[in-house]
Amino acid sequence: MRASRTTTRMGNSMRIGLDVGGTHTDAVLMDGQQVVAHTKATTTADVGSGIEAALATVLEGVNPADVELLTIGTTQFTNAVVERKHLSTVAAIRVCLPAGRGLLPRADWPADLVEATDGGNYLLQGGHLYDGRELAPIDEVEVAELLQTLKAKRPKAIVVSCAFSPSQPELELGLAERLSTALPNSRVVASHSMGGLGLIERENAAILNASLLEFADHVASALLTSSERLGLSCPVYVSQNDGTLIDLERVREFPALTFASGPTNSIRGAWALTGLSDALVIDVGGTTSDIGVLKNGFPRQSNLVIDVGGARTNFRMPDVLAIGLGGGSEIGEGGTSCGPQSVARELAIKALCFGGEVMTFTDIAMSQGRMVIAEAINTDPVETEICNAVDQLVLEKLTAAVDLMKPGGAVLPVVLVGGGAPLIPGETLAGCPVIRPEYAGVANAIGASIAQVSGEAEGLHAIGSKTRSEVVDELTQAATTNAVAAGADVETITVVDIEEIDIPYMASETTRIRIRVVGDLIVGTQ
Amino acid sequence: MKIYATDLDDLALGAVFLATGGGGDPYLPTLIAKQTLEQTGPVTLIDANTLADDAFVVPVGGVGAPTVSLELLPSIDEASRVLDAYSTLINREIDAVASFEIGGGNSLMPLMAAAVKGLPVIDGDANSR
Repeated sequence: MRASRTTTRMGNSMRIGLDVGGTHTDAVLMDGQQVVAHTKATTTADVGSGIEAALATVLEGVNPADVELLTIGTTQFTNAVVERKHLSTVAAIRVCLPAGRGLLPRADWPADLVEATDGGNYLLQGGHLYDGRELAPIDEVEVAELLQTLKAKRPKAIVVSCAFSPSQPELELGLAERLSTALPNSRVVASHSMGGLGLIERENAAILNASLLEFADHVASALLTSSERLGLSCPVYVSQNDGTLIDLERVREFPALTFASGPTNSIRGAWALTGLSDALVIDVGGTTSDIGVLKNGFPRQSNLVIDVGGARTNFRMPDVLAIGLGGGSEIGEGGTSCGPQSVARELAIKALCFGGEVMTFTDIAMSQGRMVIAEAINTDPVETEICNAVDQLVLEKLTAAVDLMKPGGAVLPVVLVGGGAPLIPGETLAGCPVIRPEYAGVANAIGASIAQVSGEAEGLHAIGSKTRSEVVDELTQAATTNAVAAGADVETITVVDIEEIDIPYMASETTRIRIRVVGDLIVGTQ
Repeated sequence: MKIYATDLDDLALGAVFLATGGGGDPYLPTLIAKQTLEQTGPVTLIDANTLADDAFVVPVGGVGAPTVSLELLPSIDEASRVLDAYSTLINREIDAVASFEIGGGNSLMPLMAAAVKGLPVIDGDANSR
């Protein structure tokens, strides 16, 4: 197993990984690369008591002082957006006129998400052109009027987005500072801190992030309280979209960076459990199986526009294909279908093995001897003919999905993780060998426990100026600086991704280069 | 035949197919065209054969890098203002608007211009589609 090497400057080396999902709260206690204890508990309505129960289970017989790090993966912020809960209203100020007249912020959002976050939309004159020239001058009268309006409205949060701010951030920063000074009780987010070119997507991301700031304060404080209540005095980190960690202070500022930590942690957990840097990973749950790709030990990122709760965003998230197949999948008459309908959370009431009326994929797996369910009420096996027909269907579904996801048709190992991993029959899928690691059921918590931090840098390379390798060196240096600022040990930094995208229609041939580096977290030197 | 705001998503998807990879992502043009048609009502689509031989038809659309519009967003009135300026310049009334290419964002610009000006749009384009 090739889990990360953590630079330790104290005598202890135990870590806790926690994964707080919508249904389950999983925890693992790791000693170096060994799983010392693990638990799968139910997520409670208040979240906190479920976390404390899971922590208490893995800490049994352990001195909390021996734990050097607590890392948490949580879907609380994604769920808040999807369920429209705990969201603050956000005033959205866009500086772009005369471009974009008549196209307001949140124009394409679902009505209920608009309602949950609407703190007014304001379009002002100004911004930049692609080459840095001024699009239009700032109208001071307009700005003064806006400040007056907002002072009366007192929004909880404000987003400022200016045309071409990722390459010219000064205007946006200046306005953000004036707003902060005029409205000391409002949190102000400058859109360029949430991503690159693509005004609508960047602004959407910034509005979602701003709407979560108040809830993020609450969640971060609650996580700290829970860990302290169990006697943990170690630092607490949270995993972000790319599988690396951010501290609680950054969570309070950028909660939206955790949106994809669920699938990311499963894929990273598969890496830690198998040591495979390139593989396909299937996370089998109650309703869906999510297929992702491990590339250089990290999830392959999606190049599609990412939709969060119905809003288009520019977040970088893992490329995951979800198919309707899980433990709760309903079996059609005579084994003619399996999913996508699922009994989901009601498995323990509705499935045949629990005395219910619905034949599920769990019943098939139990009848075929792949799963042993201690709490089963009804152990009468389903007819072998039906079981075989369903298994055949499942293999066909998974084979098709694996074929879609495997890069360039290469033969890669397929790692099965998640609570439903034992449901899946067979030793190969689409010609790829299937691997079933130990502790696959808590792979997501193990993924959260990997103590690495990342840094990114992005820049344009025009042919005829510097050489490509000079630009790459400069960007690697900048990314390293960012990673070290996030807590990485400079000795352990490695480049994990260099992305190059040609930009069409520029005067000289231009490429955008983005570099991501990762290093081990320095623990114990606060 | 009339084109309504609710038709635009399907029209844009078809335009992506006809653009065979060019023309940019029609997401933003679709978004602003929807807002326009919601304000102005539907646009009338006409067969070119129904026009008089000397009818004055003006194609309208964008040229250059679609990437720029990721930051400099399209406006509700830019296409119609171009028509106004052109009509004034050559001192002639416009009878209908056309698309020079039904592909990507340029499939939607003529619809917006026509909606704001209350003019019909030709069912076809300069690629003889």
